[in-house]
Amino acid sequence: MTAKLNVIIIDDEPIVGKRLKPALDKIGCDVEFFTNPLEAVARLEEKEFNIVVADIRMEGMDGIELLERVQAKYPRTKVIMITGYATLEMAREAQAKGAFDFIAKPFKPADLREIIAKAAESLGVSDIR
Amino acid sequence: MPLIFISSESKNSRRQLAEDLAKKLGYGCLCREDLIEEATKAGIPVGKLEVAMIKSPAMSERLARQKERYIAFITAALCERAMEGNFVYHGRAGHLLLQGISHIIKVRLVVTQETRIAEAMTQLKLGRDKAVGYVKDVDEDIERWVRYFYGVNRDKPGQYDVAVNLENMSLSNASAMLCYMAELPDFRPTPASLRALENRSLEARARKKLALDPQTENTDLKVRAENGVVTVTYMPRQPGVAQIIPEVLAGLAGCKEVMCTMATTNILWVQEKFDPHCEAFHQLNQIAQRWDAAIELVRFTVPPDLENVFGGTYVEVDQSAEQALAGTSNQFTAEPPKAEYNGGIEDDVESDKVKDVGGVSDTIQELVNIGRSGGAHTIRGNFHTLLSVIRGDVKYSLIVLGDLFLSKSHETQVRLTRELGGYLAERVGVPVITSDELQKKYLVGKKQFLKMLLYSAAVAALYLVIFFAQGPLLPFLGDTEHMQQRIIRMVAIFLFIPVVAYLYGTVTSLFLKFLKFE
Repeated sequence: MTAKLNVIIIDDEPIVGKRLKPALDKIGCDVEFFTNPLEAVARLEEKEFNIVVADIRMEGMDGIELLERVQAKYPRTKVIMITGYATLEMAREAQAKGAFDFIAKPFKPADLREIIAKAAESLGVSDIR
Repeated sequence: MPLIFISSESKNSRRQLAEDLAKKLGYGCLCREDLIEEATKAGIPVGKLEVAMIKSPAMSERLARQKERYIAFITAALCERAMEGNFVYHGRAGHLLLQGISHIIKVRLVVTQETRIAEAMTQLKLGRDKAVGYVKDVDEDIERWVRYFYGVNRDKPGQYDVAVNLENMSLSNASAMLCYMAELPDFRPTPASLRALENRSLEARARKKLALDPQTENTDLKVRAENGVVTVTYMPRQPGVAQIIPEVLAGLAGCKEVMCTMATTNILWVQEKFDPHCEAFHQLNQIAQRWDAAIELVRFTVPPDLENVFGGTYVEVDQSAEQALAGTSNQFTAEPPKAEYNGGIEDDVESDKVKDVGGVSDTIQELVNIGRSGGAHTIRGNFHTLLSVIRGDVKYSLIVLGDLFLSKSHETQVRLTRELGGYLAERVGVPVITSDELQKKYLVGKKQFLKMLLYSAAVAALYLVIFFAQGPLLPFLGDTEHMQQRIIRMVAIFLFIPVVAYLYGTVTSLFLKFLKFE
């Protein structure tokens, strides 16, 4: 597979998109960022993404619910959960519900890039830099 | 009335029991989830600590310090609330945070696996198989978490005042039973337990202040408080922090005096390759605990083409990486600038990961975890180069030489290690031993125990012989007429006394080692 990796990032803090988007663009991902999870869900209805990066705690819809929706509609899509308020139980719940991985904030873009590379590999995308 | 701390893996059951109990007793109710939210808001990455239990049980040195910050924060929060009034606390292992206070009832709440699986199925909307996996994973994670954070097994019964099993008891009856227990005189506050709580509160608040202050957050400090006097012990490699501590603790409520003391001593461990899982590490840790010492690492290698191992001008010291890792510094004068809010996304730093050559980083991380880190250096050179990193202002009590000169033949390794030992002993003036000698010289095990028994038996046999054989012995000792007898007696005493002294000395020395008295 040689197409660009489509990534959607959903976090209610704009600074997260501002910092993550360029870091993922750099490795050849096509990134869209949403601060409103409901708008992100609407976008996900229109387009299938390879990777969803979602915060767990958001106004309107939490990341776990979003994970369930994505899993139901696009079983191949890899969902990576991010949160500053992680607990063991929350991480295990996300894992049981099919999340590809879980990152606790604070983290470096390199940590996310590493997980995205693994997700890309499992999707058969190999042109991640 | 006492405080009540409930520990359980089942968040649901502990919450229900705590809320019911608090209502019956007219107490407030507090849960771990509230406190970790406060801690996260205060800048402690609790989420990272939690997830580290799943992803990598061997935490980085940075997270090891965050663990200390977390414990300091949570303990202080509990103490502050305890000083305000009674409450029921429920969490994962709250009973381990405020130990030694007799008016806290520590409850272990046991919920059956089936109940927890059913809870996971209904609350998390998981199928049975996934719910079983979820409960099993969470159990293992919590077990690991308790062991890592507090170094204990959560199921050890001695930690609790009572274990309540909900298999055959309703929550309501369990709550009624605990209400009755709270009335017992055994758990009423006493002047001693209130004083203990005050001391713990001051200690926890001081630890929290030091852990959250940017000037002291990366230092390894031990804090104790008694009757308003806060004693902070810092590591010898961070002498500059002594000036900062009183400034950071200024204005701490209830603190009458701040005393700063340096950890008494350092053990210098010189080796080519370190491994935190090796036997020597375990033995050194035991000795360091007994002496309240820090362990300083020196990774020492000799270039293969070096002709003179003793002296010359060869100098190649790379301390920066390990010093940064171990928080080694004397400079604590300027407050670091406050970072801009980044939404939890930090900057990529290329040099962030220190290349762990020779296992130094892993070993230092483990030492930081157990609060025994004395810093680290990496040196390539001759004996003189090694001597140059041994600081004059640090009091060393022991130098341990591990596996060195690994590129040489075994005979050369042994010879050079012996020569290095002699070189350092002469110049530093402290005992120098090899890691193989640690057990024999400073620790006691089965071998030493058997030796003590054997030598004790020999000493006892000698004294029994003297006791029962006085009839023939006295004429032998008292015969002054024959010159030959005199000479034989002199030779016998000459041989006998050192043997007795050696046996008796060995028994006494081993016995004192068993008592951990040196």
